[in-house]
Amino acid sequence: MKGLTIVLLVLVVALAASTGYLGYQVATEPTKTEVLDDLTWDEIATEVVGDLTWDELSTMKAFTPVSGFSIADVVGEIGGENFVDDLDRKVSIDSAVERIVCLNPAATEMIFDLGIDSKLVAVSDSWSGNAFAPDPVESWIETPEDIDNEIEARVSAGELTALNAFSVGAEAILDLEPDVVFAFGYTLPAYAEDLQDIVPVFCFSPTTLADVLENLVVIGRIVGKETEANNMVEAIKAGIADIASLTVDKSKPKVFCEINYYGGIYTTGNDSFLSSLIILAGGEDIGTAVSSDNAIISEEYIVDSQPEIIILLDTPWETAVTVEGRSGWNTIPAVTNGKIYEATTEDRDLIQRSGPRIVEGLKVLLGIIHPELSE
Amino acid sequence: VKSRRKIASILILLSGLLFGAVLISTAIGAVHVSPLSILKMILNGLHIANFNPTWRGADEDIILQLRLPCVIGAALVGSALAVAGSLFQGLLRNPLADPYLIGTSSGALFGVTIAIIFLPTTLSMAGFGITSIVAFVGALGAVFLVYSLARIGGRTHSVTIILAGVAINFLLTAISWFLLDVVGEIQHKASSVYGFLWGQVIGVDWDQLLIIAPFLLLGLIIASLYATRLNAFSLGEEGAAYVGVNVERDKIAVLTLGALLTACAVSIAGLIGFVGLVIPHIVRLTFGPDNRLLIPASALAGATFLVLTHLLARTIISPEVLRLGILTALIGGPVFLYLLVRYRKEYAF
Repeated sequence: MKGLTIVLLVLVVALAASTGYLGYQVATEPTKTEVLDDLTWDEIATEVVGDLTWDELSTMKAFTPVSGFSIADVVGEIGGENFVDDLDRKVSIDSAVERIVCLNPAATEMIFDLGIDSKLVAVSDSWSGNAFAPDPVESWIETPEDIDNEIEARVSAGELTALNAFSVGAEAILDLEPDVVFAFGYTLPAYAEDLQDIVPVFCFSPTTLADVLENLVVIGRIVGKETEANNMVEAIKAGIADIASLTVDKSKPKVFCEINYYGGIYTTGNDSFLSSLIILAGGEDIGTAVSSDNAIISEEYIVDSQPEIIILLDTPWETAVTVEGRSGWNTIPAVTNGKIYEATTEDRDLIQRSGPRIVEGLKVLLGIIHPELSE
Repeated sequence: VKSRRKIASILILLSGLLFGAVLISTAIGAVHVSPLSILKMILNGLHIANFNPTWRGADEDIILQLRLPCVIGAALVGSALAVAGSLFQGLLRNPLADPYLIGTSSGALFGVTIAIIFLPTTLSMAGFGITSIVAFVGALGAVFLVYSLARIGGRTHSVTIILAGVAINFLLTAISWFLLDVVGEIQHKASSVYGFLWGQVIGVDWDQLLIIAPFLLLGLIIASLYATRLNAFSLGEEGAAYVGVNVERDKIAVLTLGALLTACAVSIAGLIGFVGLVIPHIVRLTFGPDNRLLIPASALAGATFLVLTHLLARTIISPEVLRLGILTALIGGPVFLYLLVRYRKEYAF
């Protein structure tokens, strides 16, 4: 009996702790999307008339993820001080970059946009080694189609190597004699460990919108196209500002963006760039209640929040029909009003890929959240 | 060996604990709904009373469609795993036996992998997603494979069952991950497998429960009926045969029963570790090794444990939900270690 008493005691203590925490949570209210309540559209319109500049917009609350970002603050230059990648590793580049292995689709897009794709010697090809694939050459980048076609043509012609970003080894990379490797991941890929001190490897895993833009600047500096990259990022910021200025005084429908559903529902996460995009497109993102896109969100919380729009962004298991059929979801306005959007592959790449087309992604979201504002 | 009276009083006490755990779990969740409203909703739902709703339709859905089925699902899964664990430990006379030992976990994983690669993922049947169905089929298939590998000349040796089970577990797990790695197209779907591996009682609905619950309850009753014969197995198989047990027949029956209980649990919750291994040990340390008490007590203790762990998983950092398999080990581990150290001299297996 003593053992049982102890089991119970532990459970009771744990329970008490959790209910105490719950009480605290109720008292402090869950994180709510910050609304642009400082300025009304009329105020902005009378003050700025027409085009808002980035600096003016950046003082607004919704822009905090971006306004903290300034191109001048990005560290690193070739042959000079160290660059810092998203895993907080210091990486230095000693001389001009002529050969690039790019295993990060967002960086590949950026390199094409900067017009230096001739320096690419390898790209990521997550399809390679697929015994079941009808076409052995397929790039990870499905959209934009022109880049996809270009990559596939060059791989077929033997001018470009396709590497599986998940399983490639250090030897295959070294064989290509790259000056730099661009990687993707929230943990360091195995090959990066082996390439330490031989080839600089940059690992990009942006979380916030500022991270996304900063990475584009870093890529530009590394490949020696600093001015062009800075101009592109300024243009992206202006594009974001244009759309945000449209939605600033509009109603903010509650949006729930689902990323995966199996053994738990995943969503955007607080301060993630996905969340920022939804807010900038004029929605109230209920996904800000959880800390990251790696946290399971409570189904009870979703139903309680009553989202008006549901976006199925990356849900291989789910469709609008299966979401409508979920038990307990039938009071959700998005379900009763049929406002469940299944993102296409193209939409998903635009919204989720942390590359230079992020404004296009923002426009897709604007079309979903405020269709009346998008031309 | 305890008297019937003592067994009955312990089981009544454990039933009371389970009932209390279910009550608390139903009352607390990510969304606050007053306990009185919850009671009224449930009475309305059972057509016992007809209170005027003073709550939102959404609140009713949250309690009756989301929270309550998950609480009951957690109870069923917990009891099924704990009973399957005690059956396997008793039958194979191995303290490390757990519900997944004889191939169920890897069989289920293999099934899910095949479904991800070859089947339309939005298929469903009677409220079960395709992954639940293939997990169930895969779990049973792997156990059948292990059993037929271990069977020689009409006899199966416990050691061979365990070794074949371990080998099949490694093999099927390796094939699954190999396929997930090689078939690049599904690499972004492969993340779904992690949810399955850590186990989660989420999105359970009544249709699922209505299908699974009768199986599980029947399985639990039948398991209790085998208690006396399992006691005989503690004498060793020869000893059991000596006291009149049909060893081969009972072995097939108990293995099948344990595999069915595990497969049902897997189809609802994926792979929840620890419960099936440790709850039977905790019960054995507390109440002794008599299977007549061990099996029903494991059912009740397993259910209570998983209901309360599930409560913690969905409330500690709500509205985030923690992975259940992590919490079961995190909470159960220290408790088990304490008991082990405290009673290590007296532990009778």
